[in-house]
Parts: sequence; structure tokens; C-alpha cells
Amino acid sequence: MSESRIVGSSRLSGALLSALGWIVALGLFFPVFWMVLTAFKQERDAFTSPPKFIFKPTLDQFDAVLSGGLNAALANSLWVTIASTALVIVLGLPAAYALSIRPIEKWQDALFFFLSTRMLPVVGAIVPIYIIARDISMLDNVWTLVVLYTAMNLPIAVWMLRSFMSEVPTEVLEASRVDGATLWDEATKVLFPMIAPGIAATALICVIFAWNEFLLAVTLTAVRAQTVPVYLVSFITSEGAFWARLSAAATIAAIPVLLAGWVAQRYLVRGLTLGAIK
Amino acid sequence: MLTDSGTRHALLITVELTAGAVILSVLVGLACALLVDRKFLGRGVVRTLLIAPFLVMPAAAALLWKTTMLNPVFGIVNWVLGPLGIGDVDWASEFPLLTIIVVETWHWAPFMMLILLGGLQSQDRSVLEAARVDGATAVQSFRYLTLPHLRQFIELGVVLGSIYIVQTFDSIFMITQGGPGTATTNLPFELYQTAFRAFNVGQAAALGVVVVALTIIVATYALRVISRLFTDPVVAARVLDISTFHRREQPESAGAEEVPA
Repeated sequence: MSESRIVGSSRLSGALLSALGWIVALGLFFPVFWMVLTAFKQERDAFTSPPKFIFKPTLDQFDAVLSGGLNAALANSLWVTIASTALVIVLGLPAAYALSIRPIEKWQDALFFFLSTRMLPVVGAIVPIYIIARDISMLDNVWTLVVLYTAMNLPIAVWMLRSFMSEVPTEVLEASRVDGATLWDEATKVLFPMIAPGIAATALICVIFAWNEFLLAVTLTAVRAQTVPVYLVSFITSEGAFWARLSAAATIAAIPVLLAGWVAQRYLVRGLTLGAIK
Repeated sequence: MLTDSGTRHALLITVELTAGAVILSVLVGLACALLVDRKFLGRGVVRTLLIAPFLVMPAAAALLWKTTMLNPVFGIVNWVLGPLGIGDVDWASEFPLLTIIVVETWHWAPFMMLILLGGLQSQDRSVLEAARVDGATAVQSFRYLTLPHLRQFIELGVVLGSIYIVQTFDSIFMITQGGPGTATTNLPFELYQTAFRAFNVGQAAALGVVVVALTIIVATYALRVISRLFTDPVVAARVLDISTFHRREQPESAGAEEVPA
């Protein structure tokens, strides 16, 4: 099927295109590779011209960042990510059900309303959010981020879950109803197991967005509730001094989501386009 | 506030940054999608590597771009460009906006690639086969068959990309802090500075209204594109999840209209 696209291509031009694919991929991936490589360097190996590709690897930088405040930020990030994702799934499943399997009245309007909330830029709402959080003494509190990340991810999750649910053949659900299953049984014993991969994919997308979020975190947290991207800000001021250490911190920050995204790559496009493209 | 030159400047920067990054990332994403759409050894690995930039925490990636990649003396970009005779450029201060656009393009190209790949893989291969039999060259079938088919996917990429890239904040905060001067101060960063550095909450809130109003214009168009994707039966039947929109009318001859008579 692929040959038909490159019409009249000889074997040589095919090989060239494959090679080009590899070159482009390695080029775009290089900054990630370089980050991981630099993380295993001593600082003196990180500052060299020409750059060093071969050196004696060390774990010193990981030790340094983990004992220097990163683990507190990691704990906050982990908690905020897990709690908000769990909330999103718990709230999103019933919403998606009411928009696909037993659609409510005007469900298309409801669906597009969800979508429109996702299109509001965070920056447009940041001032009122900040003032509200300040007035109810919720600044620098992980729960503030949990609530906001839940709200941020809910529209995507509803769209994704809905698209997975609407793939379930109605006959299966009808059969379970005929057999006398209650709504709860129908949902937990038939529907949710059938869309389990979809639920997992949705959760992974929410994890990616919550883990990487920066604007809300940097404005609403300071010390106690600092998440990983906010911790990284401290490296701006020490520019030029600690590249290897910065790379180690960035590697630790980036790897969880990188792995999650690779695992879920089949569903990535679906989440990013709010379920519009499979 | 609207007459404030700072605001108008930030608006201009926002438009330049968004337009530049969206156009570049669509082009790079299209190239990547075309390359990965073919079958070849290690295609899965290549695709996996290509989506990595989108997944890496933007704040972390921006810091690394600023330091290990773009540092004028020890940065790897200048080392690579050295043999070409452009070896000692301080990218972040000499070409600040270009730097931000490149970093954002690097981040968003995989996103565009995934959308366009979805589009390419939804194309009816038999149409391409027929074109080949009729003697069309690769360029012709791309120009007259693939590109029109991709149009709505490109539209989707452009509108979603615009909505996200208008909000660019992480990379500006980490790499240039809006500078030098105000060379990279876009609306989100201007708002952040007004609210949290100058503590002028009223003006920041007004800026927020401007941002929201601009987004509504883009988003209205975006919603129209998305809803058209959902209601176009030809595309919808093949790629989109429309089972509840058109549960009983999956067209069997989907794609028929693309076949030249």
C-alpha cells in the first residue's frame, strides 16, 4: 500500500526516503538525547567545545538534584497529577455516558460547550483565578492545582471517553439490559471493561497535560506546593553554571511523561484532537 | 489600555509568533507525516522518536534549548553550524523571536505530524493506485489527490495549533523573559508581567479580556472546522468517530467523489 504513494519510485529513491526519515527523526530527537546524555556528565564534561560525546558517566547530578529540592517538587507533581486524573475519570465517565450511550437532550450542544471551555486560554482567566485563590487562602496549595487541572482536562476526557463509548455496539448493552442489569451493573460490568483501554488512554493524556502544566503552577504556587516545572525555574538564574545538573533535573522531569506518551501513542492523536481523529 | 503601545506591540509579537510557529510546524509536520506514511525498516521507531519533542515537558525543553543547545560558546547548535561559517551567534539575544519560533516549531511539529498522518492514512489507496495506472506522477497525485484530501486535516491542525500557540508562555518565560527589551513579549507574557511583576491587576484583567476576545474569534472558526469534520460523511465515515452522529448511514462508497470521472 505504501508503494502506491510514491508513484513510479525506484528502489533507490525508496531507500533515500527511508534514510531521510531516519535523519529527520534523529535530528528532531537529538535535543532529548542530548539532555539524557548531559545528565550523566560531570559539569566539566558538559562545558566543552567541541561537545563531548564520550565521557565517564556518573550519577552525581541525579543525586545532587534529588537531595536539593527536586524530590519535594516531584512529590507535589505526582500527587497533583494522580489526584486530578482520578477526579477527571470519575467525573468524565458519567458525563460521557450521558453524551453517547443514553444521550441527553441537545447532547451535541453540550458536547461543543465542553469543547469551547477547553479553548479558553488559561492566561485569560489567570487574574481572576489568582484573586479567588488568594481571597480563600488557597495560594501555594496543591489542592488548588488539583481542582484547576481537573477542570482543565475534563473537556478532553469527556470527548475522548465519549468517542470510545460510542464504539461499543449498542446490542451488547441492550442485551445486558434485557438480562436485567441495573445501570450500575451495565456500566461497571459491561461497558467499562469493554472500553478499559480507552479509559487508560484518556488517563494518560490527562497525566501528560497535568504533569507538564506551567503557567498555573508558577503563578499559584511558591514553595510548599511547588511542582516540577516551577522547580526548574530556579535554574534560569544559575544559567551557565550547572548544565549537567539542569539536564539531570530535566531528564527526571521529562521521562515519566515521555514513557507514558510512547505507551499511549496510538491514542495520542485522538486525545490531542479531542477525539476528532482516530 | 488598547491605546497603550506596549499592548499593541505584544499583540503584534503574538501574531508573528503564532503565524510563524503554526506555518513552520505544519510544513515540518507534513514532511514528517509523508516520510512516516511509507513502510520502511524501523518506521515504528522513527515515529516514536518523532513524537518525543511533543511529550518532553515544555519548561524543561525550553531551558535546555537556552543552555546546552543554543549557548553561543558551548551550545551544540553553533558547533553543528560552525563548518557552515555561522559559528558564533548568540541566538537568544540576536534573534530572540526566531529562537522562540524554532523552539515552538520543534515542540508542535509532532502534533501536526500526528494529525496529518491520520489524514494520509484515511486516504483511499485505490484512488492513488488508479491515478498511478493512469500515468500520474508522484508529484501530480500528491498535488491533485492527496493535498485536497488533506485540506481539512491541515485546517484542523492550523486551528488547534493556533489556539495553543497563541498561549505560548513556558518557552518565553524560560528562554528570553520577554526580552531583550520587549522583543518577545507576547500577550500572555505581557499579562503575566502586568499582573505578577507590576501588580497592576486591573490592567492585567483588561488584557485578559483582549486575549479571550481574540481566542473567541479563532475558536469560533475552530469549532466550525471540527463540527464540519464530524458532519462530512465521506471523511467522517472513514476516520472519525461518528457512530452516534450517523449510526445507520455509513456510506459504503465512501471516497467515491474523489475519484475523477
